[in-house]
Amino acid sequence: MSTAATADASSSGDTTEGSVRLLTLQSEDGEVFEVKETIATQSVTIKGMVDDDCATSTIPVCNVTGRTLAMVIEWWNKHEIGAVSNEKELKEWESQFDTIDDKSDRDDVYDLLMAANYLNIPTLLDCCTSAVAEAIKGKSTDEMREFFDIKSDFDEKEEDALRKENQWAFEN
Amino acid sequence: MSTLLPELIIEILLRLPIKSICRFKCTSKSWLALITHPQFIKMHLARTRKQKLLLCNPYVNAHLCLVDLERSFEDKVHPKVDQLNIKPNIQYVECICGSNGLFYIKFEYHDSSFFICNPSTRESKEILDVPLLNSSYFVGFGYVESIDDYKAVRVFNDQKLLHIFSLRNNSWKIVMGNFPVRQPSFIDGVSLNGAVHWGTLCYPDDLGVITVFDLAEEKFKTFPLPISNAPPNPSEYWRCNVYVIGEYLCVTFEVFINRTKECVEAVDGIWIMKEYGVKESWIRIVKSHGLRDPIPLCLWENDGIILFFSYFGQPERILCYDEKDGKLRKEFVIDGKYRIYAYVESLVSFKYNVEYSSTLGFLHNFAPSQLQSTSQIPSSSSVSLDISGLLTEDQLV
Repeated sequence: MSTAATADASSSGDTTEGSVRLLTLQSEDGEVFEVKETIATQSVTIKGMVDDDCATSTIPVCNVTGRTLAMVIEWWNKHEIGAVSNEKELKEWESQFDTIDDKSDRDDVYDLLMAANYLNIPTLLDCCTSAVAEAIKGKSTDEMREFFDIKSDFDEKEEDALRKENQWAFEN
Repeated sequence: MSTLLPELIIEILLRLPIKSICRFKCTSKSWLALITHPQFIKMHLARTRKQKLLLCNPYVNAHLCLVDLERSFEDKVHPKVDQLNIKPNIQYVECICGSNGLFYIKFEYHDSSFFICNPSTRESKEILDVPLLNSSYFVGFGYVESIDDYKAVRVFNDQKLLHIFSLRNNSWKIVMGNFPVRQPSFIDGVSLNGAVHWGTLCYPDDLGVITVFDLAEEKFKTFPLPISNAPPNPSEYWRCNVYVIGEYLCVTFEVFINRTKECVEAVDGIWIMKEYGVKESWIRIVKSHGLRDPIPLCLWENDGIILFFSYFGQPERILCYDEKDGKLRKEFVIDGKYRIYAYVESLVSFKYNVEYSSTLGFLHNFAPSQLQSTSQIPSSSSVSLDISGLLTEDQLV
């Protein structure tokens, strides 16, 4: 996983690269990233901070690990407005979520979803929720419980009645 | 490993096919509570606009079945149909398309009950009916947003009587009333914006009107037709049929005797009322398809209109007409003869799950202001005849 720009934890917040201002983001586990403001403001949350002039020092991104934040930044770079976006490359990056079968894939998407939600990044949210929907649409209820770590709290009679009521949804 | 926030689970669920959503009701009590929650159902309805068709064969080998439009356009012939089984061994079936994907279905004229059905979830509810008079009636069924209720109306015009059913109250009301102008040309009304609409027979010296029954106020009104003068060289009479596509009321004129070129050209095509209830907003579309009297069923993607073409001796066809260039884009052929209704897929439910409503689980954590229960339809079936309105003046139309 490559990161867009990594700097020392000691770097101060407000730096510039040419005429583009750089923002410093710090993940929950202390990793620090320098990101162009024009890119990071794809996050509605960060845009709000910039607009309110609150983005002058290091921005703590709580609840998001460095590993996940690096993925978010990769997403930002690929979706930068005005950037010559390579459709094929973009599709390829998005396709890594096409098969979310094992737990580690799932956890990656979960982490990204939570980050997208926390940072309020509509495009990333849409991509991840669609990916999960695609992955689970054919699952049985047992597989769903495993996927979402849910325990059934129906008693046998209740579940039988419900299944009978929705019989058609269990047929192929 | 993180646990997903409820609002993210909702976002994921809203992107699933309806079949998966129905299956996942069985995952856990909190999932069931979420999926059957009126607010979730509304969010789903606002987001998904998947159009499907309900095919109704009323008489011979009476049955109902469902067709997926997208898939059928790929199949082209012999589209896959799903049987919709509500009641076994039926001899006859009458179907009225309501709003939000619900249907009013009656299996025998003198049956002591009828059904409200949501074909998308296969949910149906049998409702006790009032005894029907031995005469024909006009019928409509629709949603009234202002009172969050589904109502059916039957008009016995000769007897000057109206039967009005409210799903929320689960009761019938019998009041006096009859059509304000001539009686419509078609039994089934179409519903839009909390009202039922019927077409008319047109005569050169009396074009007629669209008859409207407001389900909230329970009163009749009328809309003018898109044409205010008789077409040149007119037929003795012709028919104005009313339909709904998307959020628009629309009409077609069917000239079936003495079809002169001038008359047909003057009224041909599909007329859309762009602004509901505004006479000046009628516009004419779909003129260059070369089909005689196609029935508009619904809108399709960008600028598409789904048309149903049925003419004796020819197979029934469903076509996608492109409004941009007037071309027919794709089609499929239906095996057999049907009445065809388009509906939008919805999770709308009429048996509110009272037993699970107190175990909302994570719903409580999720924006309670957005998730307040807005409708609670009683699940027990009972008929109460409210005839108190019979003598009040405002019910006399």
